[in-house]
Amino acid sequence: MSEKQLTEMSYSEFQEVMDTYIIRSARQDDAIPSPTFLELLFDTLSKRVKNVIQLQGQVVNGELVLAAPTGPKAVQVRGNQILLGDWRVIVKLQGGEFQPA
Amino acid sequence: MTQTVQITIPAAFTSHHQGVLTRYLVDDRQLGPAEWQLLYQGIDVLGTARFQAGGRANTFRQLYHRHIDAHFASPYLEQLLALDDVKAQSPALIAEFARRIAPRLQQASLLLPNMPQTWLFYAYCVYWWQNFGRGYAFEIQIVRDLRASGVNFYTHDVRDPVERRSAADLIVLNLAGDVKTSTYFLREALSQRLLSDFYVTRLWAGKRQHTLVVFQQPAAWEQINGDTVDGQLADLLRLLPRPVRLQQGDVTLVVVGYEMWKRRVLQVQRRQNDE
Repeated sequence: MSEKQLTEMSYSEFQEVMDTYIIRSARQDDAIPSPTFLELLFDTLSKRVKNVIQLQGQVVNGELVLAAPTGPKAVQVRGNQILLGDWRVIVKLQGGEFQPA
Repeated sequence: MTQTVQITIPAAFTSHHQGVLTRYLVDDRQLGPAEWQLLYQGIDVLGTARFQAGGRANTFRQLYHRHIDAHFASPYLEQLLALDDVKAQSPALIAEFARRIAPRLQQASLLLPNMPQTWLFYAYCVYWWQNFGRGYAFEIQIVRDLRASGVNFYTHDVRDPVERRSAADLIVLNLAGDVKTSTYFLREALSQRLLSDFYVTRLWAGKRQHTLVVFQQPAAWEQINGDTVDGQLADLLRLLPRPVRLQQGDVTLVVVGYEMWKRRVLQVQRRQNDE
């Protein structure tokens, strides 16, 4: 029965498959072996982190000053602020002062 | 009254997808890594399949929400929360609700014995229902365990359909966390980045045994206790419950056994209370 595609089965075969699945899957999670789970998880997350921008910064007079990246124009840096699309990311040093852009 | 029903399955749902879906439903232990990925792809594509009846077209995903989630989610969660022993009693409850799916779909002419393409919709609904049911059963087990252990935390009210979809299930030490079965956790990673600070989940530690773990962003673990041992993916189960730092490419996560995570959280909370 398992050799057939779902839609190639008779309706009673299909119902039997679903009834068995309901009982099994109510009892336990999908049986993804841990190595498979970890491989899929890290592969997926690694692929998502495609665009990496490195910023350099230094502390000038007790305040953080970031250097503008030479890469994509989508990211702009002003003082301690990173402008990315609709986002303005403000990086503060612990105990430091806010650096206006 | 009979009405004309037409289903459009996207061409992206190939015979390979249906093959792996069939094998998954029959016995998921048959699947290898590539097949799990194919299964998730196939389920996502099926969500965009279109069901046309009575002049109206809806995707499988829309129909699931209208016919299954909207009708069964709240009553299921009410009954789940009333259970004394969620771990032992929830499987019967999940299955009981799953058995209501076929009659409901048949009544709405969405499951027709003579139209095998409608079976794919039924399979799609049961797949998501079982994930939903198990996911909340797991979440409630963890929430009850954290409460019994004396951990201070905030959790969303799963009875409230809006709060149920909040960005985080738990807030512990100002860290946002989610409780997810391994399937949901993986699907979240596949569909979006891991946005929470930590995820309580289960890993298969053998053919029939799960181990509870917490996956964390490195900064979250540093806030609790920065100690880690470096590990490879293949070593994780051997190194647990110790906090293991896993790195692959640009991705780093810290994984720790759930009981150890809880103890460290309690230590930090007690220290904060003493200060």
